[in-house]
Amino acid sequence: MNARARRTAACVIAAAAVLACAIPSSAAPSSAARDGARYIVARQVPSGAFFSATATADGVAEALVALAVAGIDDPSIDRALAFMRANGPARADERAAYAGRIVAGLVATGQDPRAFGGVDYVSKIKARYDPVTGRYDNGIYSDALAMLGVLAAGAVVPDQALTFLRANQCSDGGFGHEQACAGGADVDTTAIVVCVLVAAGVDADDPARTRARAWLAEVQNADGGFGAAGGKPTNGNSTGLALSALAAMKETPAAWARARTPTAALERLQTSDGGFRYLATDPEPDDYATVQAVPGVAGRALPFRPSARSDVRRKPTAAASSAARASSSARPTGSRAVAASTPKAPSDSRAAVVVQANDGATQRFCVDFREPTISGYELLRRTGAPLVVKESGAGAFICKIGSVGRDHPRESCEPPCPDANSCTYWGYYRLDPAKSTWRFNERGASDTVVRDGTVEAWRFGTHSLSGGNPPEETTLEEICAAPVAAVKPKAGAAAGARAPMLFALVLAMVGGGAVVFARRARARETS
Amino acid sequence: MSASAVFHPKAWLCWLLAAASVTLSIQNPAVTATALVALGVVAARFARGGPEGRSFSVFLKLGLIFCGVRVVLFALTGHTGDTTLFRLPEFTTFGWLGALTIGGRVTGEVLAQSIAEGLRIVAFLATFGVFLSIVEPSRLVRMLPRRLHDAGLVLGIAITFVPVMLRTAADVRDAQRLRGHRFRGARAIRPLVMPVIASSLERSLDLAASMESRGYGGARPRTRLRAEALASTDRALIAISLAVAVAAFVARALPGAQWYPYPTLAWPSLDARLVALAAVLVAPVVVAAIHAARVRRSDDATPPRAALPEEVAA
Repeated sequence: MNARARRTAACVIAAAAVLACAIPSSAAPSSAARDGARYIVARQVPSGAFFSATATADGVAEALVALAVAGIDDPSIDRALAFMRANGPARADERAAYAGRIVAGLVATGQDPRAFGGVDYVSKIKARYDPVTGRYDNGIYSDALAMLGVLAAGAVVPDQALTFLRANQCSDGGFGHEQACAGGADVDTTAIVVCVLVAAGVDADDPARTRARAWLAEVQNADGGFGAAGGKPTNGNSTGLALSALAAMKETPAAWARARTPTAALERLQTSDGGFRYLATDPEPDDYATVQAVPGVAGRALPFRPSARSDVRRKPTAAASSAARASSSARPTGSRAVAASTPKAPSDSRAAVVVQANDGATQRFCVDFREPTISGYELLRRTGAPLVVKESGAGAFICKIGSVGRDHPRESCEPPCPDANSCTYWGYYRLDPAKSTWRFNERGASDTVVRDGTVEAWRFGTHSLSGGNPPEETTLEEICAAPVAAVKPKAGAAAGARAPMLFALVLAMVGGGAVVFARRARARETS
Repeated sequence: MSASAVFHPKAWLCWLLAAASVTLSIQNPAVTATALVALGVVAARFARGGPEGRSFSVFLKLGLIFCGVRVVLFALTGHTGDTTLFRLPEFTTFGWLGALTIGGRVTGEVLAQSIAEGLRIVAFLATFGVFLSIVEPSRLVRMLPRRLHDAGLVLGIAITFVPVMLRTAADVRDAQRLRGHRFRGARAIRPLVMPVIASSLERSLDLAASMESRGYGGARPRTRLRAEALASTDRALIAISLAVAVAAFVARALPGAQWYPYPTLAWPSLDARLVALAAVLVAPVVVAAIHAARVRRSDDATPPRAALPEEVAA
């Protein structure tokens, strides 16, 4: 056999081995996002800002969102936060969008936006709110940025603000940069407004959302990306924001593929140093395009709220961070994180929530809030637990807390209830302090009033008015005093691993027996 | 009567389709493991004797090697996920090499994901291994429609490659042994590999050329003896296999079919329907056993025929 054939054979074997490794694995957090984040980090100036010494704190905050999305855990983030601490308050009272961007950046990096450098940025946004018009800022884009900040901090956006947005939706379904669609609809504003609508809990079949989504589908370019408006060439900012909007609407980029998916179109704008160009014809990457492209290419919606289990953990206090790491119980990320056994400030109110899933896994939250009263629904939102909620005129119906429950709107939020045993849902209880027993709440969480000292509980299972299925008894002091550890009953934890082990054992035994039987049958037949 | 004559090659082809679609559509390691066991059972029952019959184990080992390489590569370069198993010294390649971070945090999620996908590769290769160890390639090529003459040639080379390689390996090993070469350890494989690959490529080409000279896949239409008809067992197997293939395609949408261990490791869900779907891949064994039992029962029912030597004498 000559040398050439030998070499060909070796190449074929090697190619097959490489091909096996190249079979793409299901998407892990993308490296395109990390490269973009590294580009941003590489352009930090000594003062802590990014890209230029004359940068403003809100631009730095928006860059921080990109870094947090990419999972960067770097001292450069601390330097940027120091810059923001010093320069943040400068214009916070002038524009709500400025404070909104800052809040989004703080929440993304795990800081408390209500107490950063001694400033409560969330109230600064709310101070600019005009209840008559429902506006936070001039222009829809800025207004949406302000609302994004409010929602990132876990606060509620008033209905009038949503009405204002709806009223300014253009006739073709998009949203324009300026009020009343002066200048036409543009992709950036529409994408941000979609993120705001989703985060504010607007239903997926709400006409505002469906029309905006339809408009985005209309103006998508043939190469899969998005331009500034219909007919404009694909650019990094618009495609990145549109991808974030798609992620917020729980759509996959694959379903929006034209010549290629929007993600692939965006990745084509990325240069070798990680930055994203504004247009494909630009030779150099653009800083702001990179900042807005990274969350989109990572497939994350805005506002970005890191879960307690995400890679980036930059909690404000060491005690809170160790508690969050050691257990699956989350200290509230939206409101002020309460370190173990800190006495509450006298003007604050403190309430507690117990969340118990049907396998017994319990989480306890201790929430401080400034208002004298909030609703039970708001209290649950402030715990920071991921929620799936169905909002209607009758109030909010909690479909899913964390990973337990039903995925509205994919599944029906209401339980099917053919019989008593299958009627499972998140039941809402309040602790009666006088009798130390749990009382099932008939009223929905939107209608209840939570004050200082209230303890509430959510339990997934079947319930009845006569007491139903209450969680175990506890008190506010118990919940807020001890460093909280998630209580997983031992049987539950073992049961998690028991079923797969049992299955593997059964498979091995049945498989072994079947192979022996098969061998014997073959011998019998060939003999 | 050899065991592989029990089912028509077309039935085996449908079964191959079913097995391939189950392994490709469903990304749940529990289901893939069940499918692998089912493949092993079918191979144990129906594999031909001799070196060609070992195609299943060869493909299995090949798949495990690919799986191992993939797991190591991904574990070293993927660092996402919450469950850190251990840390290795880190090394970041240059930008033009992709700025990969090699080493660093080895997470359970990346490991689990790459093992699960490696298992799928192993199962996928094993389906072809089982198929090759059961069906003689010549019976398959005989069934090709006459229009696919070029494809027939290529197919002839492709499907004879592994069985011929196995037979060649046995020959080469015997020849080397006669020359006093002792096969001990992994280093002993080297003098075996090159001659085997080379001569099996040559042999396949020879076989294909001789098939072509005999008119297989020829350009002109040929008459064909339809010696192989579909029996009831074949029809049953074809029906079951097509049903499984369709069900596997539909089952992709089930939540249990996509196991995604990010961001935190979790056990794969044990959806009984998917596991049952993978277990149905032992259908050939079951159908053959039922048919054999029925034949035996009908043999017992009829009176025994006169002994053969008397008939011959008469």
